[in-house]
Amino acid sequence: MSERENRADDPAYARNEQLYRYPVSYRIALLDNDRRALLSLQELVEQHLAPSQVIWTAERGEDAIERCCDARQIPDLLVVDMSLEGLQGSSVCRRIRARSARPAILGITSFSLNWYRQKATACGMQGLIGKSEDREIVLAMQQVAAGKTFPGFDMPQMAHLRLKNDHSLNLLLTMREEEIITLSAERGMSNQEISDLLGITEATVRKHMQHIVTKLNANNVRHAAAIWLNQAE
Amino acid sequence: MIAVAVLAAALTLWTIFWLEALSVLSCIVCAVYIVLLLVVPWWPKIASVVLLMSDPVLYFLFTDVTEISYFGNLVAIAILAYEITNRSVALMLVVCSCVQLLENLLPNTYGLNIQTYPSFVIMDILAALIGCSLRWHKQYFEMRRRMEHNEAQLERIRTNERIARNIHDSVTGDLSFIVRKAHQYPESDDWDQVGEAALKALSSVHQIIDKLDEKADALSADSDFETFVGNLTDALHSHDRRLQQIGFQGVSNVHVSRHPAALDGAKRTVIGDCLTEVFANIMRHSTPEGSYQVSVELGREGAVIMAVNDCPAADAATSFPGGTGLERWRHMVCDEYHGAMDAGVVDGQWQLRVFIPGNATDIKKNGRSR
Repeated sequence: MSERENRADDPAYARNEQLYRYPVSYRIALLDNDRRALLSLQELVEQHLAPSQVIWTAERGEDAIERCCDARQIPDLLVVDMSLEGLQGSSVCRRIRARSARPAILGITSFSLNWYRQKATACGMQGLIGKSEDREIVLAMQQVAAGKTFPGFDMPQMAHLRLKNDHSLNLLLTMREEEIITLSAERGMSNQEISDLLGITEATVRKHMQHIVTKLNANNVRHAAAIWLNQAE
Repeated sequence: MIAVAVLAAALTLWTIFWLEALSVLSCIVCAVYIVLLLVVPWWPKIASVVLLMSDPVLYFLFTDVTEISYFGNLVAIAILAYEITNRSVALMLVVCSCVQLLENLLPNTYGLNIQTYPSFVIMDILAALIGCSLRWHKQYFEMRRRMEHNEAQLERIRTNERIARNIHDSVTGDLSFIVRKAHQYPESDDWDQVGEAALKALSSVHQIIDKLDEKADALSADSDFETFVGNLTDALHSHDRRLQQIGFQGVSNVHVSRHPAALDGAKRTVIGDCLTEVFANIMRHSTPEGSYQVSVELGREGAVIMAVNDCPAADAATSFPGGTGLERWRHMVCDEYHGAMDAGVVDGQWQLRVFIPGNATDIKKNGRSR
């Protein structure tokens, strides 16, 4: 008997099936740096979660944060890929949560869930799901949009209360600074490579680096990178 | 240190050799002094203090052997400067200088006077500086060794993260896509096989990535702290079960940041007791069958307990939860543990935030110094 057939007998799964019977319309937003994944998730919402709809998609964390802070564009559910270019999914969530208890946020990754679990719970998400199983993604979206959380994850309100006074390094830096130190510290990129990737001049990258060194109370860029790797959430 | 002690003992013996007509008692004193010098490597602090104290004793009581304390004094000052803190060294020099001044000012037969005083003080300072510089040198090398160890550890974590990210960028995204596409054609056996194979490959990649993560975690594992977190989680689940049995709906979680501050036994007990009080208050005062949320965050600066629960309109105006109970906790958290406590009704919900700071030394070690 296959795993899918087993699930049909599972009472918990049957309870989740109830969610399909009474369709509710949710405004959903998607954040993923992979266009193919964005299209595929959008198709999934249209096919399985109608009348819910994707109100916007974003490929960069900064854009998603900006839209979530705009009352007219705020979705009921934001689905965030954990691994983005520059500003990471957990950081996007932390910045949104520091400002508001809305929207509910679901992390999604093709990475090992264990790798991101701690980050996802700490940054105020309501759940974390793998990218490979459509059905699980749909169920997770429905649950989180309906106000439920995965085990070990906070409700949006509690996450907001917890993070609005957050003093972690992530919120000490601006989004651009965080993007630059992440590329430098975690990916080992040079100023030239960062400037090429972000489309800014090398002098601007250096200026940002100076600010980062000052804000992290570091002695030099290498020290700042070590502090970031060691202490950033 | 043994070589220095032997050298000082030899020089002292040389001084004794040139002394004239020593009494039996003076010979014994000299022998004891030599022995004291020779035991310095094994009991550096005690022997050095005794050597320093013996200087005025010899000056006033054994005037025929006063000169023998010359090298012993310098060795004792240098060794103490190596063993104690900078502030204590400064204090020791002040005391030694005062004693020396007294010896130089009092009438004596050794040619000591106010003119020779500066040279003694300078020699004492030089001896202290030698001891201090050796200590600073040792501290510098220890710090460098620690920094190199930390850098190596960081580099390992960084490398693991980079490997994991490269695997992710190159493999897992595409594999996930294949699995999902394959599952969109459940009726096709071929697609099913492709999907299953891709899923198997994906799990294997995840296992490798988890192994990398485990290695990074193992570097900073603290079993005592993990036990505490485990106990805390169990306690929260137990409270949750009890509340859910009587109709409450809620979620309680523990969050641990990457470098949580250390919490001593007393603080850990207070956190447990505070949670018991928080849950008891939710049970007593929250709306029947109402919702609640409790969170414990073990962060870099200490522990933060947060609770949010529905609050009946009548309770909103009172000093919920439980009058004196709240005040007792506020007193304990703020006065005894130098923490903070905020409580109040916001938008019809009771919100409580308790902060218990971590142990001071660990906050300094883990946190930024600003």
